[in-house]
Amino acid sequence: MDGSVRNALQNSSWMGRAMPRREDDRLLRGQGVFVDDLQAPDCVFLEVLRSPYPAGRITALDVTEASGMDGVIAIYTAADITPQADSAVNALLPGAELAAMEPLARTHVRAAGQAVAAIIATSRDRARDAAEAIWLEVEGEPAPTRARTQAHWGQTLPAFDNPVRASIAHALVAPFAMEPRAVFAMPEGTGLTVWLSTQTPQRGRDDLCAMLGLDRDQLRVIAPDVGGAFGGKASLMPEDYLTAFAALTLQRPVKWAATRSDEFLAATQGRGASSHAEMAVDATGRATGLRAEFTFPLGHWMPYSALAPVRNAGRILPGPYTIPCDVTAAAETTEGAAVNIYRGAGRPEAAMILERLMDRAAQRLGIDPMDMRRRNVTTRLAAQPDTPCSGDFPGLLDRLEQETGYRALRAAQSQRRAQGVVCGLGLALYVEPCGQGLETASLRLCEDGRFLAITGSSAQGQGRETAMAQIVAQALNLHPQQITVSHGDTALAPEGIGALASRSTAIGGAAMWRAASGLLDRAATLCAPLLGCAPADVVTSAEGVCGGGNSLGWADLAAHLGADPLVVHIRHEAAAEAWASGAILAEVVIDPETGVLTIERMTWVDDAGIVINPVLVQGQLLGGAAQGIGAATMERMVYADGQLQTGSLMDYALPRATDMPPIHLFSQPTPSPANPLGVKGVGEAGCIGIPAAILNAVMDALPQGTPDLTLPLTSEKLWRALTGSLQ
Amino acid sequence: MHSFELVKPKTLADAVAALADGAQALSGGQTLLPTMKQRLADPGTLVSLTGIPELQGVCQGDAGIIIGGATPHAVVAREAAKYYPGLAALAGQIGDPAVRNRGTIGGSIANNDPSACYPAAVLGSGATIVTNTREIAADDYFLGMFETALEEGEIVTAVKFPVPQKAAYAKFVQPASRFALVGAFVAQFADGVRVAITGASNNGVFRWPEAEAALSASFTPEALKGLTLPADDMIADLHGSAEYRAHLCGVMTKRAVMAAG
Repeated sequence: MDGSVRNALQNSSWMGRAMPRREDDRLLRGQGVFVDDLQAPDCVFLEVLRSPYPAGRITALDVTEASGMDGVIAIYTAADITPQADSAVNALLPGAELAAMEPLARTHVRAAGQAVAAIIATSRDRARDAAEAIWLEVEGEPAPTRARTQAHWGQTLPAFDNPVRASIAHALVAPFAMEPRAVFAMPEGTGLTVWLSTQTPQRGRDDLCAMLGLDRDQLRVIAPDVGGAFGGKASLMPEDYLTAFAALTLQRPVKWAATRSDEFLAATQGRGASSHAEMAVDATGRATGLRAEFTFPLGHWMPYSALAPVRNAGRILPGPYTIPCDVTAAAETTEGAAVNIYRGAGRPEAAMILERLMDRAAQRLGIDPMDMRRRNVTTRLAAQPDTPCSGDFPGLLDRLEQETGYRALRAAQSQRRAQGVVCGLGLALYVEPCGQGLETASLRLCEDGRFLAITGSSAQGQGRETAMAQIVAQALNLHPQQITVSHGDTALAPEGIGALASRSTAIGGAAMWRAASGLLDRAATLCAPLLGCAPADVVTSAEGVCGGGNSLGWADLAAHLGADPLVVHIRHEAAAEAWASGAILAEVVIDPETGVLTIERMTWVDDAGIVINPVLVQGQLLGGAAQGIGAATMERMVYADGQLQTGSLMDYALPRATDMPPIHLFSQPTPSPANPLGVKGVGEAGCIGIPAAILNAVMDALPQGTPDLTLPLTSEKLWRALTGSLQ
Repeated sequence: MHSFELVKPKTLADAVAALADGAQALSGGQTLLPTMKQRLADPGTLVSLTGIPELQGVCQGDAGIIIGGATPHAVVAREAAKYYPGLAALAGQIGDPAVRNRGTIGGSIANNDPSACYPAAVLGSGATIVTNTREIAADDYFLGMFETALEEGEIVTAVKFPVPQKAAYAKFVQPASRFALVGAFVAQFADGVRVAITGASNNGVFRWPEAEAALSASFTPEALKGLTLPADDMIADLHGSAEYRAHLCGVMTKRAVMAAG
């Protein structure tokens, strides 16, 4: 940080301020523009015929009748499409076998819901009418395993003497963005402009280019307003390719928007892993070894980030603790929709098994679970990959104990139990690695004296524009309203990663900070001779620059610079990974007659590093908590004989506002050394720590010796656990 | 959705005539419209019953209250409260506000979803279903899952409820749909207690004679002690096994008795 940035920092305090989200006024007035809102006069609509049959061989596929129906422009089957490359899959693990997308089933259907034909017609209803007229026969055959992967982390440890054990079976869950996926492709020159409901516009462009055989400059991807993503809009999907292919082939605008049914049947799913682990503990409560095995289902094909949960689960153990580790994670394709990253992506699976083992060990040794964790937390952080960058884990536990009145709660629990109340307290201590690699930012002084900040990170409701404006305002001593923030358009930000892995503030924000610092330096150099002072004496403010008793407004400076504007582009490679962390206490009661679980209170101390805007952090924490509560207590995708049983919200239970318990948030930041802002991510925390705390609280409430429960913790399971009738 | 014709008669007679050609009656549409949107129903012609004044409203009759067949749940929740609070409370728990503002009592009992709330109140109250051609006692009306005594083209014009001394509904919600996983309606009349259970049985709503006898002798939660229902005919699905539903029948009946006071 140079002298001028330091001066600015002293004069402004935009960072850390609880500012309302600048996005909300427009969104709450219904003025958002999502992909399906976009219109074009000659637009046609794509619909997908999905196999109603589970895995099998296609014995008949006849589109003759459908092709002749009113309004039908084209019908594609696998024989009609010509992908120029396999869909990209990130081979994150050494020796990983990959199973690319089949945009349309070729000889075999691999899962119910797989796309078999694409119908393009003048209206959605006509396309759906035609889809019903396509003749498809599938002869049932077991789906072969397409790809297997296994990886190991840590060291090979010898057999443990009398370890504690735990097993967890995570349900498959739906990422469930409020806005279903959508794509609108418009021919443009020799290529396309594609509006995509995505969290990764640049990757979308690159993957579409490869599959369509286009150059990067022939294809522009724009993510307009996007109504949630959570990993479900991170990787290119068959409908994205099919819509772009149709627009390119037909040379007219083509639009596809998923129905909720499409999303349940064919969007990516999350979780689904099973884990088995054992931990050796000595008599003093020190964990001396951890052996964990994860098995992840992949579904019938692998989207770009399919292996990220596998890698995350493996690499982050032993989390906030110091324990020698022996971790194996395996993954293989399965019959069913593709499984990909979902908010947390492997971190929740690692946190939950570890936190169960901590409680099991505490129980065996007769140590309080809070103390058990204290004896094992890491206190000396090593600057090594895949370990926390910073964090005060004893401090998180201390604060949690203090804010909850934990000792008194334990005492009260004994009294309540004596009165027949089935109640439990559950702790979770978690870490949240927040992404690696690069992000881009550019900052420009515009002719009108305003600033345009373009971030390579994308936005799906996080309040990105608000945070980026605060960062720039802080660095340049401006008012945030002077800054326009732009994102999600590959024409403006040709390079970038997008919003993933809780990375956008830690990496994207750091990139923007560097852009602003660079712009400040350039402004000082350029303005010093104009103002008649030394560069180090140039001071910026909302009005402009001043120094040596002279001043120059921003618009005047822009006019002076003319054709050589003040603009800085930054390609920021994160030197290290930021790791957030937190500690949670869940207080639960179970109705002994029905098994109904009530979360009475959640108390959550989080370390998200330096906070740019507490309002945004709170939104991320609470939203993640809702999804964490859903995964722990009610959400599950269920297949029976290859058929999805949870194809609508009549059967797939999502938490609603009334399911949210009181959640008390406390911020206890330690600055991250991984970036110049000291910030960390916060997006996935709720999905990581909350389910582990709930499971521990439930197990604390249930009788000792209750076997491991599968997720979600439905009322029937808890009733059976209480009545000794678990199946 | 497949395309369809919509007929909006203003009188019951016009509605009956319009239904004569095999058209489908549409009341609040809270089941039918989602089914059509998913292309699982293709009725060709819909005859809307919601614009017919004589099918609307809650009023006091000679022997209880009368609710027009096309009266939305929200209206029952609001306007039946002073006559029959147990019924009004049940109506106020159906679905969500949007469902309650559109869905109707006639639509609900004509569909006879095995997990719907209204059948429990109608059977548990010993109500009478009034149609354009006749009156049907509740005990003769519900014939099994999605089956009723209604003939083709017959319209539920009203439901007549005798008002009990005490009544309450206890609902255990299915976590996704918020329909009843098990719902118990108990009603104490001068000549005895009726208990109707919805959500639980493969045969739809049913009365529980043993619980009725016990509660007629003593309208207390303790009177139900030791009473159980067999799991044999209970619904088993991903939201609850037959055993769990059978167990919840007892719990919810007890809670309904406690709520009735």
